[in-house]
Amino acid sequence: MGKYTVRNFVNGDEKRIVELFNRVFENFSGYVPRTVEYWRWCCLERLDVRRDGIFLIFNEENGALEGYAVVGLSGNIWEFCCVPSLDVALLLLDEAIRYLEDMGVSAVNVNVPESCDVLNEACRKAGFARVDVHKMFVGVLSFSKLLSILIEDRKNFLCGKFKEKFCIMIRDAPFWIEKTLSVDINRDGVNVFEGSVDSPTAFVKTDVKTLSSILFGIMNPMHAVLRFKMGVKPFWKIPRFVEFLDSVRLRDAWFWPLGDFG
Amino acid sequence: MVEEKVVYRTFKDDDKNAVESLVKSIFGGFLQGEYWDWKYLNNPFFNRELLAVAEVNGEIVGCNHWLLRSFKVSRSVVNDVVLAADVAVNPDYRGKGLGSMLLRFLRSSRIVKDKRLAFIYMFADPSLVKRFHAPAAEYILAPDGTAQYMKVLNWKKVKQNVELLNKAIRSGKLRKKLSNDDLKVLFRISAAPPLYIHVKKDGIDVEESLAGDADIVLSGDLSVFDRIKLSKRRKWSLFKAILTGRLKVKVKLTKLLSLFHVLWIFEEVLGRKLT
Repeated sequence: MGKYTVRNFVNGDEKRIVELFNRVFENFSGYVPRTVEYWRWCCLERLDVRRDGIFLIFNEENGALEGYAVVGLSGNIWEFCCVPSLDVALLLLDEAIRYLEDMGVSAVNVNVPESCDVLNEACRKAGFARVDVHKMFVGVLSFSKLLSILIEDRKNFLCGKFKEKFCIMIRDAPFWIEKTLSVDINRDGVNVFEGSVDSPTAFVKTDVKTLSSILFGIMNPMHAVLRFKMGVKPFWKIPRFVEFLDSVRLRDAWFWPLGDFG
Repeated sequence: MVEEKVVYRTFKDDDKNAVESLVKSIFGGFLQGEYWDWKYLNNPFFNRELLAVAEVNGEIVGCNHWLLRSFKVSRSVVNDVVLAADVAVNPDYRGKGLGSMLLRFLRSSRIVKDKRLAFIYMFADPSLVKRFHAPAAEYILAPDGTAQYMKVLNWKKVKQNVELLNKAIRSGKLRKKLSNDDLKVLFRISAAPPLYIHVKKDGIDVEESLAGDADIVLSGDLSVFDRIKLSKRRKWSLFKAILTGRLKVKVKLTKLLSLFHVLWIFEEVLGRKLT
């Protein structure tokens, strides 16, 4: 076990904290990327957070900030962030628990990414149990915008692989959602827009819930076709459209720190 | 028709007190006073255009708060999205579609169109989503990769619940009666200290340790107890947990009947806020 020093927050720590958060959770998604302004509001100015409830842990050898926890008197660890080290995570959890016990709080809550073995292991070792208190929900405001942002970082792949014009019709779309949208993919780029495209290579009919579930990675596009929730004409374009959806839909489940909850 | 008299509009500075008191009356201690100021007015993402109010004859009877925020959609994509926060409707106007109309009002707002926001997200009770949010706004379960953990540090709130129940028993307000038997029950819950409840003829005690053996020992995971607590049919959930082995019960044969007599006590004590 390395040597660590723990101390409370002092003014001026914000920048390092924000940098650590964004670095540690770089490979995760589903949260608000931290800026000093957001962190100050979300943690420092939160009504149940006192400065003696923010713990920072430093590596004694090089002075690097290796983790921190923002502990609220409501029993919530609003932010729990550390480099992937069981020792650091356990030290932080111990500090948080001791602090809350001293304050007479009844219970502690903390969120960690499900796929981070070290943090999950630390929680179990510190005597925590998994609970399923809050559920996160999403609703689409614009399919063309959602598709555009999902396509953004896969543009090159799509341009090299597809030369298609998909026209997607949404059944029973509420007023804020496009009734028809089109995706035009060719060597020059990908264009997503509201309305019909000229001479589409495939027509797709589906509903809001199905398309949302596919794009957010909850439903497999092939399952949607097999369960008649999505129809593609002509039918031989089914594999192409499924392949397209499969390459743009979200792959990673979201991690939301308690601080983002409210 | 109530809808004819209702005006839906965005928040104005003059509405602050009315919105605050409406929210306070609905959410009680949770969202009152400074908390509302912190959550909304002091929020760096707060935008007045995303706080809608419903007004009837000059009185604010409903409000819906949305917060614009930057969001990491995938490993490489960060985009502006909306967090749907607190919706509050005066109890006298519930069931008249005000909540849905406030939701629709915000969805058609200028800022949503101008910023071409892709999606909205929120945290909510699944049963409320099924009844209200999903039909009104097409919400689906998000791709959740968050592990939520909890550790109970003490049973202070259970002791408070027991005090309230003892008061009600002493005042004779309760129709149900305590069993004549003395019953010692031990709850062994993961991630929590042991909870000893002693049911006596004249009242209930939460004890640090039991003198002698417990007559009944209930052991299981914190999440199982949580699920039973949140269930609409708690007794059925309790039996289901026992039948499926998620909750283990050890009862002295002579006390088996007493267990059924005191189930209502556990419902009273453990059904309220525990932590």
